[in-house]
Amino acid sequence: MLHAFLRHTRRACCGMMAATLAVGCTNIDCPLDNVVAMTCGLYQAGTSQVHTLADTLTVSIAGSKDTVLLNRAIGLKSFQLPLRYVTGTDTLLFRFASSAGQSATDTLFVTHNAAVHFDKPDCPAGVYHQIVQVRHTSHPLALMPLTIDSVYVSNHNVTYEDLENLRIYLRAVVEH
Amino acid sequence: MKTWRISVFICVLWSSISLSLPAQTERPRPRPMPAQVQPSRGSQTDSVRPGQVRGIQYTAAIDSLIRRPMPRISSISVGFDLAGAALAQLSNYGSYQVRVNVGLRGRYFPTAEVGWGTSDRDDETTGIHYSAKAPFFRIGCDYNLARDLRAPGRILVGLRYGFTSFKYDMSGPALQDPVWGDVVPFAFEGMKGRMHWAEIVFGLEAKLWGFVHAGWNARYNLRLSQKGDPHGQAWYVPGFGVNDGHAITANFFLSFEW
Repeated sequence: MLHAFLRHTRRACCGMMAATLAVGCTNIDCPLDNVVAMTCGLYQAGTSQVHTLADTLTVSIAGSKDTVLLNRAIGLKSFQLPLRYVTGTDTLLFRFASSAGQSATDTLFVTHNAAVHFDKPDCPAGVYHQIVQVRHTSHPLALMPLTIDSVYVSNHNVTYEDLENLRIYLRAVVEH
Repeated sequence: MKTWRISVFICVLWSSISLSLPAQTERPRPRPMPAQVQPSRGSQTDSVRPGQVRGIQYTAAIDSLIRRPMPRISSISVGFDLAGAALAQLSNYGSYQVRVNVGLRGRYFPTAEVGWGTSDRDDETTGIHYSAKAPFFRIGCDYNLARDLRAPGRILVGLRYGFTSFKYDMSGPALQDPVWGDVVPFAFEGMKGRMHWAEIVFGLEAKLWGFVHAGWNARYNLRLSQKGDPHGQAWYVPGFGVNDGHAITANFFLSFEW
């Protein structure tokens, strides 16, 4: 009886081996970079069309002189900014500068909740954010003919998903 | 990956053992029939043609035995999963489980399974530790595909519904903010999770001797619903396996049947 059982099992084991080998080579789907960043899209205030930066934009952290998140970017339609790992309000300085030598700075206040997130032991943990509120300042267009007009939160959850979180509407001087 | 290596090793070991044993129970080849003796002209001949009857025919008797109805409750069995227990001891996760089933006319086997799933893993690369320990429950039914219900071997297919409610812990190195420099601890204990799932089961079972039976089964587990902690879902779910939407698991049961 034992041999009969083994004989039946022999074929089944071969099938199991094939199945095991087929599914045994699993790959680990971990994000390449475990830093989660907020995606900001630029739009024109009047037309709501995508805005391409013609002037340079530098984003830095308030209270820090040497921490620059985006350095003199030009020609961008969107960009990513990291948020702080602890819950609170991040103060980000948006400095616009033109080739004519004009410059001005607007401030963006992003209030968010931060929480550690993990997927599996194979992948390093990350920090997810939930955007609660966004406020901003605008400068007079006489200083620099490009400023933040309004900000709209299009997706509150900042995760590994590559989704736009903020829609930043820019107002520019219309030259006649 | 270690678990898959162990399962491949077990399969290879099992196959090599079974292949190395002599196939004593193989059906003996029929002996060649002796050359037919042509009756000489004028001698008496049988009404049955030579070669038509080759011995005593038991077909009718066997058929009547097979067709004899089995009792309503044909068997009661209690089994223990040896493969899950071995995995629990040798790898990052496994389970200790008991199976009880009742044979109905030898064809249907309503089954209940109760177990204790355990996982304790440290990842060398990330330094993350995961642990979970909890009971799980399954109910379902197997169907015996074998033609001869009285045979000591069974070919079983079946379905299961599984449920578990568990707690899991996860911890690892603290996270350091690359921009602001904050350090955030990464240690969560007692996170609650629940899961419902369905299983498709295929297995073979044979009588070893007396009331001792043994058999293996392979299962395809499909997650129906789950609840976990907002920080992250459980990596290993007791009774289900690695939590990836679906899982393939296997058991080797040693059972006692009356």
